[in-house]
Amino acid sequence: MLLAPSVDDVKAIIRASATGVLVFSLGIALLAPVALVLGEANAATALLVGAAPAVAMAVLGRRIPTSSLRLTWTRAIVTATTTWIACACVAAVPLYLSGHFVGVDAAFFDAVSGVTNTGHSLVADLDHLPRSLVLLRSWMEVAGGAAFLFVGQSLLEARRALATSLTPGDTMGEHVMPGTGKGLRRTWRTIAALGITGVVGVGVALSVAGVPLASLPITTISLVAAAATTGGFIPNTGAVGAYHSVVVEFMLVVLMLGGATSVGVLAAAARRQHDRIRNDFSFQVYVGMLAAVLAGTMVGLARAGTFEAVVPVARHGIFSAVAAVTTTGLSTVAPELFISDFGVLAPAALVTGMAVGGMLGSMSGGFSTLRMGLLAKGVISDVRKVLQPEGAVSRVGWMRLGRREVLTDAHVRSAATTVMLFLIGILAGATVLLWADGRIALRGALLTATSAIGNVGLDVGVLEPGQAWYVTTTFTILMLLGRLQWLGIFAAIGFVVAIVQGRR
Amino acid sequence: MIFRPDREDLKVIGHYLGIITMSLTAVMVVPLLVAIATWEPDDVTALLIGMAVAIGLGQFLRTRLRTTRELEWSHGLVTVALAWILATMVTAIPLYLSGHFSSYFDATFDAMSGYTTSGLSLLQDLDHLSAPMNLLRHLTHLAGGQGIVVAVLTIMTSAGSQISTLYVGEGRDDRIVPSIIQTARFIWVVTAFYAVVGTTALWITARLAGFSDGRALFHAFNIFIAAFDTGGFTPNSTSMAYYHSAPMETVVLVLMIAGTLSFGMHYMLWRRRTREAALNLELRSLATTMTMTAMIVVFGLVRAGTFDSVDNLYRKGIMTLVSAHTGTGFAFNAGALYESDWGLIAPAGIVIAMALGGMASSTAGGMKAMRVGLAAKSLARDIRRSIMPDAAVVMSGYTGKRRQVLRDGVVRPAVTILVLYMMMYLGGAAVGVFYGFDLTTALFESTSAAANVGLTSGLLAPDNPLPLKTVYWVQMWLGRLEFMAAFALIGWTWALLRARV
Amino acid sequence: MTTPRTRHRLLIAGFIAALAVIGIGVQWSHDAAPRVPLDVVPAGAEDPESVEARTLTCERTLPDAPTRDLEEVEPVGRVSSEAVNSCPDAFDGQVVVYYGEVVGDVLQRDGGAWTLVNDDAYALTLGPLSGHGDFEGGNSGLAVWLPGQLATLADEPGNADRRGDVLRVNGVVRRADPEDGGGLTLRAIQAEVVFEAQYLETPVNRVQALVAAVFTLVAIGVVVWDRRLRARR
Repeated sequence: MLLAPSVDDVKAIIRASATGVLVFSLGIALLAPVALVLGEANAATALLVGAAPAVAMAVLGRRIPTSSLRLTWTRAIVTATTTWIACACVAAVPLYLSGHFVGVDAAFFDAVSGVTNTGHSLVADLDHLPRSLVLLRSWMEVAGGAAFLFVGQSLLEARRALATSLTPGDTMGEHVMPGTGKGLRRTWRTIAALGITGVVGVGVALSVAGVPLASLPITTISLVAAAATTGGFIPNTGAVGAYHSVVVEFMLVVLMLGGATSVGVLAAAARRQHDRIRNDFSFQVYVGMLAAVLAGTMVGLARAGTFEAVVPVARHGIFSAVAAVTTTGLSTVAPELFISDFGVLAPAALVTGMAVGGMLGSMSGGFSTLRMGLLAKGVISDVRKVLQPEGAVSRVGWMRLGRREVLTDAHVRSAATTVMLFLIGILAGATVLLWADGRIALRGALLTATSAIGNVGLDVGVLEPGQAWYVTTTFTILMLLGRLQWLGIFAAIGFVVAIVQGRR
Repeated sequence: MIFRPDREDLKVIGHYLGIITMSLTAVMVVPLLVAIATWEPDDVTALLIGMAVAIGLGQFLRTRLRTTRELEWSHGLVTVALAWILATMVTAIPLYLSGHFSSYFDATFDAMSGYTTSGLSLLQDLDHLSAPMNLLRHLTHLAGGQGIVVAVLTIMTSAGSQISTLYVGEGRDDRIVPSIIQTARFIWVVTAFYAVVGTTALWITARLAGFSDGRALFHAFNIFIAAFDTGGFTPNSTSMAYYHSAPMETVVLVLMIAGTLSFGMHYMLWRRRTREAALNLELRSLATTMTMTAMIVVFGLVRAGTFDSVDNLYRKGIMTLVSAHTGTGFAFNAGALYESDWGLIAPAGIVIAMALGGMASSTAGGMKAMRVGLAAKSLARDIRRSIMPDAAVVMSGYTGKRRQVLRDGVVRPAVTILVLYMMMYLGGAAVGVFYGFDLTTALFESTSAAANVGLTSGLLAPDNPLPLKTVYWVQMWLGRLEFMAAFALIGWTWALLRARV
Repeated sequence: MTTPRTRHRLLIAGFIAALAVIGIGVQWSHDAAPRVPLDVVPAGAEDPESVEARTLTCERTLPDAPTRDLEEVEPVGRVSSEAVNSCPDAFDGQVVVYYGEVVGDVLQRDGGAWTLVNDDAYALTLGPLSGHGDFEGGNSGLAVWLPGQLATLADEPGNADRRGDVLRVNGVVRRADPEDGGGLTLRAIQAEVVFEAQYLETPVNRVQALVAAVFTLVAIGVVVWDRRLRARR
């Protein structure tokens, strides 16, 4: 029996979403003068056409009076979902008006791809896209990533307030944030510091690589945003390989790794609690996955004979592996080569890395190393139970940043649920692709579907500007499902259904 | 550590293995009689050698390893795991001597495939295989399907408490009636009933299809076993397509579904508890997934332009789908056609159906409908929980033998095994791809082996590299045992080696 | 006096020895199987170019693809079951020549007969496997429908003891034959027996008979030993 949400609930959600949309739209509006400075008048007006109404509506939305601002779990989840979708709608407008998208669905696809930190793009003629719109793409990634982290923390606050509302092992709000206000600020300071270092470092590396001063700022921002938020939008065709610079690639690797590390670990690093980090289970799995995918990729590349010498194998192997595991989706080689030239083992390792993704509580996607680890622990402990003499019982535990947690059935069940949902998403996406175009190979379809639901963004040439509308729609939904970890979407749908049919 | 096996443990296991080995003569005796009746001297001597080894080895183990220690759960698991391997190796002897296998390993492959009711085969020149050997292959389905263990236990009436451990090790974990012996006997009665009815029906349809009396009986009996035990061996190389007979296919359809129903379900139907049956989670899960995959297959075939008439879609598409989902593995067209003629979506539907499998506690393989159903219910509960207002407590229930609450404690083992199966499917596919085969065929073959189905896309051949064949061999074994017994064996052996007994 | 430990070691060694003896016995019997190969069937050569050209264009027939006008297409010549199975669409509706051995049973009904006609090595060149022992993989063939008078053409299909009648069939390939529920069939227009059934004259495997006798005696011995032990108790 569904209880219909109260009017209060709806108002609270609109109000909360409005704040998010406001911040986002202001950012877009600020890009308009930048566009004018760059001499892109049409882009400036396009940005304003999108941002202005959104700002207006958001301001009005914030004025809605509510009796309680209590942040319950349901409200938070539904707010998150609506905010994401609303922001994507706002961003889609200037993109569509730029004329670089075949249809509205393609523009919306790119917008969703940006705010969910995926990185797939249906943009036509990227190399002639107005630079301010390139900045728009970066802004989407930064806003989406920051919002994702922030939402996670808010939910954690809510969790402390309502201890029973989140079952252990459920989605956002998983990670530990030691301390409140002060800790929060310290974390944001850490992230900001990393970001600035990244910008400076990448900027210098790019200029050394020969990028002219005029295009340096935008290229730097674009790449840093793409790497640090694990998004993956590139400023020009040709991927990262276009710069032919090991230093640039190295810096981006560092940023990607940071982007996929959970906020909790970053906070602990800021406080120099290295022991806690080392023992943290999620972190251990993260490191393990990186190592495994790296090994698999390099061995696979060597076997396939893709590159002649050890150094290129290492260079491209490391970058691809990190880009996959962190679900960034940047690549140093032309996308199509993943299917045609990388052999079989390397793509298999990369797909596995993409599906698992980075740490929970970071900006990366995938079903997260924590869930992977919990599932594995659950399976292993079940196997060991088989071998115990009758009557023996053992308690399995795991470390979460200095705190010992017990592995419960609920943890395993929840992890398995998410994994299953991801797999279903991959199958559904692949089926839709195969239905649309019988010429697509199974590998390409599976890889693209995994990339979408894992918010990776590795383009192998399957998703092209001229795609059928149902393919675009399906993949847009997959990206949203992946970012909101499915349950967010279900909550939102349930909310709407409850309004329509529920009894008070 | 965990186990500390000592000599007495070894004896217990060895003793029961001896009993099971001796019972293998039952599998070989009927083909022997046929071989004598039709006078095929080489088959007679081959089967005699097999039986002699079975009796000699089995009797030796049984006598020499007499012990007073009782059979515990861990013993049971290890015994079952080893029983499959031992039965395979002994039955492979007459098969190897038939001359139709290029190596003894290939013969063990077919024997393992037979006992695990898979149906994959490395036999060469099946169309010229003698009748006794053909019969032997099919009888392995019967023995393996009804459970080597259960079969032995009805013959031997040992102390009641010891037996349940062996039965649970099989991968069946619901007792139908309180006493294990009675459960085993019930299984035999049901089998006998279906055998009489099924063989007769098939015999009639075979006669109508154009077979002579004797040949009709031969085919009817063999096809009955392969259908009801969801095995998949057939007397000829083109599987069910050999008969070109819609009536025969209809009877087979009924038998396949009967074969995939758990014996608990048979019991319910026997006792006319139809309402209970309709509420049963497994049955509903199976019906749902079968409908969904059937739709995928039909749409896929239509999209690819393979078939456009309802009759064709039914006789080739749906029949193959049911064969796949029930874990039987009868083919209704050449395996190469899945790749060359069926597009990509329809074979994908087949692979999914194979992966999901039939009901638990039946001869079917795969993840099993019970687990799929529990996982789906758990998923639904999670979704409902994310919709409900925060203070509400969401309870979910399901109907097994009786109405039960869905607890995490039940969901977790189901999900664990689901994951293990998934890893096995993907792992086997990875090995296939490693050896240069296409991803689609590798995935198809791996799932077919691990879920004990037996449909082949043409990948499996006698000239495959040995590691690849071994992987499929192990997959069939692991799939049948549903992992736990196999893990128990591995853990136990490890402990044994460390204890240096 | 032997210690328990030595006894156990002897037992294990004896067990392994027994396994070795079994293995040797089985392998010896296997290798001693007498071989009597059959004659090679004189069948026409395949038309590789035509066949290759067709399989190269193997593509899924999509609903919106244009239908071929069958009369305009040239006859293909002789085909193999392998080629047809690997790309049925390329041969759909084609008139082909096919050579093969009838195996199993001739299913006479509905005004004709269904047969399985194989053209693998066991059918056309080497003969049934137990005759020669050369492994050539699995069987490969096509389902052939022999209408009317042709139904009684093959009266001795192949089995364990003989290579069956070898036919030369002239017929039409149907990728999704409606009379077979959508199966791939070859509908014969004309057929003739080009090689009569040949029996395998293989003698009994004496080594195997010997090994069987020995093993059976040993097995009986073990059972008797067990009975004695029980009686003593």
